[in-house]
Amino acid sequence: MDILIGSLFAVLEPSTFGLMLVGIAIGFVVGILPGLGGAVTLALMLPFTYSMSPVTAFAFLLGMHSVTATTGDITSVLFGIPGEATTAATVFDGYPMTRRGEAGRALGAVLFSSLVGAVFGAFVLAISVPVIRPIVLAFGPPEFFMLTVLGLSFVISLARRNVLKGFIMAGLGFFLAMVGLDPQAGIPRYTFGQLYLWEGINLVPVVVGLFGMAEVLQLMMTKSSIASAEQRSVGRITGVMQGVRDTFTHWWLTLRCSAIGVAIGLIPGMGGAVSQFIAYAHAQQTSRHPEEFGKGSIEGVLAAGSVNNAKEGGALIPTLAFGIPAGTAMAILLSAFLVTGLVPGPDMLGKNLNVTYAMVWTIVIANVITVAVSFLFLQQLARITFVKGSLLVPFLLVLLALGAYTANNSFADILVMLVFGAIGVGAIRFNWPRAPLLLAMVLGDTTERYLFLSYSLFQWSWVTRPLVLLLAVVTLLGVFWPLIARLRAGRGQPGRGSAPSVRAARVG
Amino acid sequence: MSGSARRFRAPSADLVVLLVLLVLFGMAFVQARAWPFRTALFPTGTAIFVVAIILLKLLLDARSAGRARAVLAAPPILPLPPTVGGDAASAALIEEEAATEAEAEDVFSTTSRSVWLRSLAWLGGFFVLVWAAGLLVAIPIFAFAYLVVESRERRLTAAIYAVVSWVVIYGLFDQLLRIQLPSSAVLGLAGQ
Repeated sequence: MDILIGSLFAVLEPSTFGLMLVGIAIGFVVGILPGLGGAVTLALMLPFTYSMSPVTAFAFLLGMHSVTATTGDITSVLFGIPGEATTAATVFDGYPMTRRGEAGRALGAVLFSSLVGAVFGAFVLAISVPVIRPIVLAFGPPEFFMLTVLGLSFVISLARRNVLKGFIMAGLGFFLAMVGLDPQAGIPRYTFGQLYLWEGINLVPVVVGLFGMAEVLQLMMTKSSIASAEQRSVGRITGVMQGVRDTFTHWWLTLRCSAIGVAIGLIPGMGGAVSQFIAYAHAQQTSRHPEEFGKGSIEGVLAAGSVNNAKEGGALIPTLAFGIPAGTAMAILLSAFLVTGLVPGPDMLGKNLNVTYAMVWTIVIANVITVAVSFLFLQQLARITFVKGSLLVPFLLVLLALGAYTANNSFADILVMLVFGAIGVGAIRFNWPRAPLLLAMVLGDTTERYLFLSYSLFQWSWVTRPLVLLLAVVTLLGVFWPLIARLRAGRGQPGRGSAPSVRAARVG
Repeated sequence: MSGSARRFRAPSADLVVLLVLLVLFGMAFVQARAWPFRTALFPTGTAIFVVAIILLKLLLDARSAGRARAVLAAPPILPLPPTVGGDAASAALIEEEAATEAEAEDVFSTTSRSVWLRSLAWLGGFFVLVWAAGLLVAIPIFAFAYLVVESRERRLTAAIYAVVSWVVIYGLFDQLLRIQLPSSAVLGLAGQ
């Protein structure tokens, strides 16, 4: 307890706190601007930490990194362009709410659930570090493979009523994940002689194109403001506190999605891009109103908001305890350990426990400050959605171009963004779900890598490992649960027995 | 446009998309056959799975289109009761199809062709300008032109907007954040 309190005072020390505020300010801007990833910014800021003490360095870096997802949600809600690759799921329901004039409520909900998620993640990090070792060690490549399969099974939920179309889009996403050098043999797959494609298709231009470009094109066509005309006449955004109250009303959902964020954050290679879709699909699967998802469901906003901040706490656990980075950002943070002279592992749970707890406090304080500042400027931020659409178009086009270009500093990324923009527009026009494509694209290469690793290590005996079997059962339950629920509902309503079969025939 | 006519238009768009994807995944399958087993396993598996789903979708679409046609051809005597049976199933089918179409009633499906073309021209023009002249040159030119021509803003407003956007992008991204901005491909080619 002494160390816990002592580390709080260490973070609040003026020089450390001041640098944390600088980090938060940078993270705030980076999160809002599409395409500027938190990981890239971490890498850019890493050289500045050479002369800092460990606590100060992590207050600066982690303060910056842990708020990017929070403010990335703001861009997703207001403009339909994900501020971060990890906030794409926020667009699904946050943006429709903005369009019907509920930007305040959506922002209130997404910001407050982000704060809850961040605090939850930090809390789990604080209590789990001493006991997490056996749990993480119980997971090997076979279990990670089954987790990716579990993640892929959520395609069914994300596809909503268009299950067959969802499968086809997921297949397309999986196929896109295969583009690039094969990790097994180093053979280029579907690269068509283009060196650019050897590293695979970057997720950022895909997300920006698929979701952002379609919204900008809509704005160019209608020329009206993002929010509805009736709301514009009111002149002032309302419902912010309603959004905060929604977080409390759906507290169990918020905590469940935060737990998903922590759990997925723990797994190396999965990352926030995966966890947001899994949490979103889970929220839809368990909702009493799944039909509202994608049209402005507050539950969808809360799920996406809470998960992407909770994952930071989870991702720090393997990074601190074993020196295994859970993702790119954590790998960069790992280099900060070396810069500041720390060795991840048992020392972080003993000799350097104060640094570990300082990280916990940094996540909490940084997010409290960010959410408080966001709430202060919420009226101004949301007022942008009442501005005439055509005035926003040049500004949004710049964000699209920069968002895509900064992935690799290549114009080819802009071309990729335009191609996926066309796919996004087509998907909206002809009612094809976009989320399954992204989910499969994110999980594709991870699935392949863990399957071959499992086979190389255990041949086929890995399929009988207890955790693998447990995860297989959970996956099957997830896949067949909607069918079971429908059958149970059908039995409860006499005379409607044929409904499931009718819908089953129309699943495409 | 009548409801019945609209009902038969959407499946035809889906049909085109499905056929394009069928060809795409067929080609992906053929290309993967030339690779070693491990390299080809996932691409081949994905291609076979997706082709099977596409064929199933085509089959179901053809069947539901046939049913819908039969129901629409029948004289509208009485509303169909919500009970078990073939006709009720078809009615539910059409009802659900109509609901799906109502959801898809978005800007893209209601905008006229001229607005489509104009918007795409502006969009394409912006990215061509970025490619040719670089982002810092493209921003003020595009912002001014778009606001004057398309948004009907006053020239002074458009000019202020153009200057402010240039200052913000140059100051924030180039000078403060040191982010590399897309540069002119034409100048790059000329320099080689």
